[in-house]
Amino acid sequence: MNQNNIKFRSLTRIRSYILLLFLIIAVVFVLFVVNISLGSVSIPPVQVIKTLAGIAVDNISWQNIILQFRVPKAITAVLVGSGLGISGLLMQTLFRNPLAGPFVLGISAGASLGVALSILAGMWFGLALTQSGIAGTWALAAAAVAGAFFVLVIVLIISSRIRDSMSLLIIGLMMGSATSAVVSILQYYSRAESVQAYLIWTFGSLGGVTWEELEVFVPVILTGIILSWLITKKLNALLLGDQYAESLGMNIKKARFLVILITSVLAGAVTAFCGPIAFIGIAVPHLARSLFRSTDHRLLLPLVAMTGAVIMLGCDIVAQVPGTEFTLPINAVTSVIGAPLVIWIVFKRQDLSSSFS
Amino acid sequence: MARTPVISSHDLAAGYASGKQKKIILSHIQIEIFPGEIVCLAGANGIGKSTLLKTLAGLLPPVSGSIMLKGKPVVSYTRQEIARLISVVLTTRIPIGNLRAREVVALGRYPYTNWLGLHSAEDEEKIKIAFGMTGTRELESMLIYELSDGQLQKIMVARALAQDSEVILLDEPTAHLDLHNKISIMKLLKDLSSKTGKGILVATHELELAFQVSDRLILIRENGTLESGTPEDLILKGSIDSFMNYSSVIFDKSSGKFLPVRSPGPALMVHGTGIPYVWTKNALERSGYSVAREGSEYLAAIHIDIKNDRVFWTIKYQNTMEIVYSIESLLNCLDKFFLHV
Amino acid sequence: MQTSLNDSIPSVRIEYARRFAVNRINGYDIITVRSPWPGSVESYAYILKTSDNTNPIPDIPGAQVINTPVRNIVCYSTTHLPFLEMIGEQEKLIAFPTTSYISSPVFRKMATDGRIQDLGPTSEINFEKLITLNPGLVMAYTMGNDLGMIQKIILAGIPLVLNADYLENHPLGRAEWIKFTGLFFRRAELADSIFNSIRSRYLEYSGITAGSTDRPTVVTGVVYGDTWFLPGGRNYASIFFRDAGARYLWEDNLSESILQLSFEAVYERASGSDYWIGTASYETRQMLRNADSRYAEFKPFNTGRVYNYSARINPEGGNEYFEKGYARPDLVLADLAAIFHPEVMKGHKLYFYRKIE
Repeated sequence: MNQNNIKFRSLTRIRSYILLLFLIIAVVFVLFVVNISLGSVSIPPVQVIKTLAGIAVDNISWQNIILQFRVPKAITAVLVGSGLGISGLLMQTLFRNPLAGPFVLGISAGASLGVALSILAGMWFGLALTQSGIAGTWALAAAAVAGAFFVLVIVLIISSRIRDSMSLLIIGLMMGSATSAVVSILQYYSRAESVQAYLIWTFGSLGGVTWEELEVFVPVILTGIILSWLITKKLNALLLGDQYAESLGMNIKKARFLVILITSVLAGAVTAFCGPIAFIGIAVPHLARSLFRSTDHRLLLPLVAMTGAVIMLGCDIVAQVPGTEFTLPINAVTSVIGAPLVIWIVFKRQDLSSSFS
Repeated sequence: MARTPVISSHDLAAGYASGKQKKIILSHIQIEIFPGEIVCLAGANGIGKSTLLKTLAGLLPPVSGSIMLKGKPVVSYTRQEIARLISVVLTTRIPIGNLRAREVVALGRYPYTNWLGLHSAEDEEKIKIAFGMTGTRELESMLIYELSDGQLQKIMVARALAQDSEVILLDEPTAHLDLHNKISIMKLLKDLSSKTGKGILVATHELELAFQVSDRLILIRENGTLESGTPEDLILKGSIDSFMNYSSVIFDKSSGKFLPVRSPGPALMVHGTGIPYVWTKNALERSGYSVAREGSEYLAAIHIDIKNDRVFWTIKYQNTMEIVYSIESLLNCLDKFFLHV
Repeated sequence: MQTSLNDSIPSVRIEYARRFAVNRINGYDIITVRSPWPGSVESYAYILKTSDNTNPIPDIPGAQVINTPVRNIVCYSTTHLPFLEMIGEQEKLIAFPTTSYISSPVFRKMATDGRIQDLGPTSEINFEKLITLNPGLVMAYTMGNDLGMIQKIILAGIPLVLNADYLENHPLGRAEWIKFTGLFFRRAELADSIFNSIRSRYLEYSGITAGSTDRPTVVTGVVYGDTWFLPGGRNYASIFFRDAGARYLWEDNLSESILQLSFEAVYERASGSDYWIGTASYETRQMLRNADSRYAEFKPFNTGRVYNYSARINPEGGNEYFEKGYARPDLVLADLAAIFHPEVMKGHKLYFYRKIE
């Protein structure tokens, strides 16, 4: 009797999960269209739908704005939300820490260092890039990747030498602080214009990603998501702690390497193309868990990806300040929305600390 | 009978090695665990039981020496194969409190499932059996932070059972539990070893429990040497006396219990028989008096008599004599004589 | 008795500059600098003392008395330097913050010869070195964030004046600050005549283009992050475009400062513009396209009418436009007039601007 009851309950649970997931996917679609419909330039919804449907519209400028500006930006928002959400989830699981996010290992600090070197100390690094004909977004992306990779390699070398994930977390935080300090020093000795250019990069940007860049961005994020799906079994075992996971036959160092690598690919790519986007990585996994209480990564992963997409599309709609020609930096919006969200979740789920530490 | 041990160690040294630095905690360890037996590994806190257990489980690399699983060196097995042979119950808490008991136990099937961790009918069956054998079916859907310490420990044993290994290593499974749960867990382990034929190794510092359940007992002495045998042989050889070399505790061979050492208090002669005699003696010894043997010197004499089904005690001390009707009054009276002189 | 500046008559005629005035009392020139940083309401008075004037010094509360002609000078901004050269007082410059930013060959040579001391980054002037040099005058500018340091220098007995040229909205207003510099060296007449010739050339070019009926449209700047920074309709740059006979697409805007618009808002209004002036660090169309392929959607990108102010960049990266452009608006206007109306500026060779290939 009891067994049947449990089986029945778990069946209804799965059913409600699938319902929820479809609901969120539907919200993603709705927000995607809303996001494309709104912007500095007001375009009648009929024209938006016509353009999306591939029907020629009278105003070629509107068609270009939708296809060249808004659609790539909305796709970028989805990729950023999913990528950061998943990498946040991976870090929270690896460190069993509710405050871990995609950037705890210093990935964004490393990317910032790369960008700071290219913008601020343009002499050696950035100039080489500009002179080789790569400029703008690609140059910044390359610099960010190089910086993130540099920090990543150090963290990975250290992680192969220590057994304890918590020590790794501390080392990651220290790497982040040290890198940020170098960036501060660079800023201190740089021209005001360069500092401003760097600061603008730190505000984050979704609109800078064009179709050409999406050709790289989409496959990288998809690869990261697929890889993270392939390690869900390992992630579940990690919830028992490093030693139990190891006793179940898992190679803890290899698993840790994979988790860090996937996080770096996801968070690194997002940072490279859009700058360091704050708060999404920490807030989204909690939000997804509050929508559906589960610790099973096979269920959490799709939910986190879609919740991330919803949040990022929403943040971008706010950042557009629809109806005006002006925009807000995306990072300001994600922080303003993300921070209260985390606080709300903590209040709503009093058991957060008992459930996570 | 040439049985093969499920796990054995040969000249094993356990400890921590990082780079050139080696910290050996226990060395020259020979241990064998056979199928169907429960072996307790006893030693004082901090002697290295956990280190040894983790080394046997493959969670720590041996500093030197070798470990054999079913007669083959452990290095010849893959991680997955080892996980199918050895499961563990550790002292570390599960860091994620909002896991459900069922999810924890189900993770025991990790070495058997595919890359996605999907369960076959056999996996489901093993999980069901694990809950059944540990008597924890009603806990299945609870979150682990909602469980009591005793319940949690049973779930962890169930998890190890679901792993369906040939040997289970447990590190202090009764720590932090109340007496009832201590006995309950030990009895469960004893039953498991005889019913399932698994070899079970329990590291514990609680010898009294170990005497009651273990087929064999391995003592780790202060100097790091090991002694192994049935609990009874070890008791008769006097190994336990020298093992527990504390000034405050003595081992009572007749009861198998450790008792606090008492400095001989005022000697009293007790005359009486039966149950009243046993408990009177217990009360006197507990309160710091010693019971004088026949013919030896004593300070006071106590006579236990029964009249009309009622026990009463007559105390003779120097020139006084008092009659009391409860042990409490007896102790008060003696205190008056000896403590306030 | 206190003297009121309002009772006195202006001694130097100021036509375009709004932030400074010169009056004469008792034979002393008194310069008043108004609102020397954005949002400030303060004004500062400087009494220029000469050895041959024995009249009592006017009692103006808070005024600084400065002995002229000054024996030597320390400048804070590269825009202060061309005036020194134009009035022939270049040898008087003894120190500058971060000398590597200077692009004038004369001052660069002096810096390499060690005749100009380096005072470190503007954000953190080497105070002790400045005190030791004991300059006759420090010509500073402030954004309002380093008033403490400025106060400290004045308290140390070093004459310091605030230059607010960068806040002038008319190109000739900026150039008129040559009169400000000239007064401290007792070169008022020379400064006046130099300004008059600059003004008449400027007015000549704007008169020529005013005769042209055709007013081509123009857009300026590039996108940083998600934001395209553009001068407001009342801004200095907007006036240049107007006087060069072009229609700046945001000339109806009432702002004197910088607009921050979204890419799509700029695209909608300006993708069909005739000219694109000012592409920041992008020096080729290939670089622009690499930075953001959507730049290629702009008409001037394809018609080749893209110009940047980068014709004179010295090997160290200093751009002469940012240094000399303030002092010589006639040269800037001549370039712009020649770009927009080549038919009326036949034979003009571009000085600051170059065509982006």
